Amino acid sequence: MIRILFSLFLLAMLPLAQVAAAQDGPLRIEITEGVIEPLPFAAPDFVAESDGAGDVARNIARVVAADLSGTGLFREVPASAFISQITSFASPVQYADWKAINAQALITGAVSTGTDGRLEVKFRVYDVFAGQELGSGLRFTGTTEGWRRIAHKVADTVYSRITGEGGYFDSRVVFVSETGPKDDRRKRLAIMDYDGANLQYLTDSSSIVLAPRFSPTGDRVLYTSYETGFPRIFLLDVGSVTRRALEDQPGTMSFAPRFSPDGRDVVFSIEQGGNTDIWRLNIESGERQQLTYAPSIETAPSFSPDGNRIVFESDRSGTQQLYIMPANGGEAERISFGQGRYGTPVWSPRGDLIAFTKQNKGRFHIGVMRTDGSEERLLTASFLDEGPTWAPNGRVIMFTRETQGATGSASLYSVDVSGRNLKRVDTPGSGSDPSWSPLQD
Amino acid sequence: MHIGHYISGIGHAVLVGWVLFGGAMRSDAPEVEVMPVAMVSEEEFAALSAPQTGPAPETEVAVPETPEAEEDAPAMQSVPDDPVEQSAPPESAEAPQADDTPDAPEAPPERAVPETEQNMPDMPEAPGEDDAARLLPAPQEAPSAPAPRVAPTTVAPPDPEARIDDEMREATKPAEEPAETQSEEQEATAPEAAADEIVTEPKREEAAPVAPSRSLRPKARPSRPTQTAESPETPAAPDSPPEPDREDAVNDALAEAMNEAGQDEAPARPAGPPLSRGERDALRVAVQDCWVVDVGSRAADVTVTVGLSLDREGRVQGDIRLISASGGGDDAARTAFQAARRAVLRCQKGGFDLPAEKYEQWRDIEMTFNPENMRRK
Repeated sequence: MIRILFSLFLLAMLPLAQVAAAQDGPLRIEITEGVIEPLPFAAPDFVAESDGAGDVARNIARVVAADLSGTGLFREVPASAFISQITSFASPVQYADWKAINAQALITGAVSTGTDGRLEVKFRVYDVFAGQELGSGLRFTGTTEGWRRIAHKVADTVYSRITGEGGYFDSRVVFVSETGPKDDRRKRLAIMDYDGANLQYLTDSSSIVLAPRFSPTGDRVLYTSYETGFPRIFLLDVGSVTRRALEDQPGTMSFAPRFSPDGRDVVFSIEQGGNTDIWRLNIESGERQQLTYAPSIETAPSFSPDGNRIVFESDRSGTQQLYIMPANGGEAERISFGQGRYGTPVWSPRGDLIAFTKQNKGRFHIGVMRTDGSEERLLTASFLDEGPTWAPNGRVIMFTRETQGATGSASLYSVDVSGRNLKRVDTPGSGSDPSWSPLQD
Repeated sequence: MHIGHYISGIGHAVLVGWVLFGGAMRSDAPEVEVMPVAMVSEEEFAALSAPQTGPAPETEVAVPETPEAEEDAPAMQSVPDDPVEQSAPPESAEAPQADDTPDAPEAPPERAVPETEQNMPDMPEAPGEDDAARLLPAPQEAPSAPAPRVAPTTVAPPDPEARIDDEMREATKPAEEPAETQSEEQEATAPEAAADEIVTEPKREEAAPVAPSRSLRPKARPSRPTQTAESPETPAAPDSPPEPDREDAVNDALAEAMNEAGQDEAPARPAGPPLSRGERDALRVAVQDCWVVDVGSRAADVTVTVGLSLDREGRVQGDIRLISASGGGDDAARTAFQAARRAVLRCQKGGFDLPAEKYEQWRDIEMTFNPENMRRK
């Protein structure tokens, strides 16, 4: 019997042995596990090719490094570890020196100022271990005052060449700046670079403002103001800081506006007679179209990137859930089915995900799900997280986090769509309701 | 005393019943029953030899209690003597099995054989295939029975291999002539050892072309062909003694066959044994430790396969090339490829730790980087 079993075992093993022995062609290895860690890079100070450009050259390199490191995807190798120095933009790179310090990417650049005062910045990106340049060298020019934008553009290019995706550094954020205690909070619109620099206020604090939203081109902002005692939608031109009421119907409240992808239309909510529905308004003609007719609260509409669909929140099922309907109205399809309440949906610029706020068991979350409601993932959890907005590349989400208690305050936070790299956005004072602009031209 | 006999009788009856019921239980598996019963019965016979001295009291004691004990008791006693006739009538199917047990050494093989024979048809196929890789020359020689003839002559083969190779060529030539007259010589001079030995050589030569496909030792003598190649140029063979010639001729015929087999297989596959699972895993782990996956990027949706060549030190030679990419756009594929390339180049360091003797196996490598599992993290 044992012999029989042994023979059967040999029979079973024979094909495996033959397969193992039959290695035709090259050795084939499949790797399914990797590591999730920041990619080390080196960004030596850019070379100053003209007198007086030294500070700018150094500052640009620092901003580039800060942009990349702030993503959580990169880690800067400190200059103290450098073996060789970049003293000339044109001199060849000593890859061995950068390999030795495990710098996988190397960014070199040079800065010069012309006689007209314009700044010229050129740079190159190298894949150190491959021993070759990623892409080709690039040059930006601009005013000396705009050196930060140039630095952000350099960082965007580096980011794109390494990750294969667009960057988001040369972008701005409009938000509600808050001051004062909770029972006497003063709010006004503010705009800043994505990293908190170049802060400017767009409104005064005489009235409450809510939910600013950038236009697709970043030159206009929609927001809701209580200056008339009722919520009204205003359209603000960022360049001139002028505004006008976009929707003003007596006896109604309009709020939660958002631009269509082409910037011509606005979708928003109107509360009338205790019922809230979603409307669509053409900015130029003023033509209005009611999109929902349910005897429930429908609000927080957001267009898909192609402009064909709208995701919104509704309590028509008894609890606050997310729905998707055609851009011109029609039958809506519920996409959220988890426990708790879902709100403030925002369609990703990539079009593949929808970010939302979720309240469940006394906790608030920022989460994402596929557009069909599948693969829901909660990225954050706290006493109060709400109001997500997407970075222009659809990779990062910024939102409001408010701390508990009488002394609690609201702050802006950002998190990678993978749930990593949660961090506070540097703002002067408190901030809420962020809206991320597209990349600037 | 009666009480003692009484107790002993009951004890014996219980033992007999247990044995019988045990035998009945074993009837489910006839093969297994036979073996254990035989073992138990012999031990119990020795133990029961003393109680047999008191069969008379048993008859007395057996009556009062249970009739079953009486039936079982004689059955047990009958086993050592002539169990079949006495115990057969009361217990139909179970008893005969117990009866057969004393003859167990003969019986079990009879029952086992048909069962094993039923399995055997599978068996001979299996070993046949297994042996095909190792022992095919043996089954060929077995039917013609050349082995016994050759065996006595090849008693003293330990001589320098170079001589053997040289003699080979000569031995094969004369062997062809007797090969043509195989039937005559074999039939007429079968008893003569010399004629048989000569005949066996062409037989093995004829078998040689068949052997290459089965032999697994092409590498064992890669140097021989070079030696044999030299040997024909220098015909020093005729000086060698005749007996070693024949012996060497046989060995050389096999060696030629092996070498031919090795030459035929060499170009088809990389030489040498394949990498073990552990060696492959070590390489995989070495690379994956440097494979940085950006799980939030679109590149994490792309599976890329890269091709590369290593030198004997385990370092990448030339460029790492993209063989295929699936699951994303061009930008994502390019990024995924760059990440894969960095993983290989970073972790090679002074060279991947791979067995030098298997260089042909890992000189060319295709690595597939599949981030599917990483996306869930």
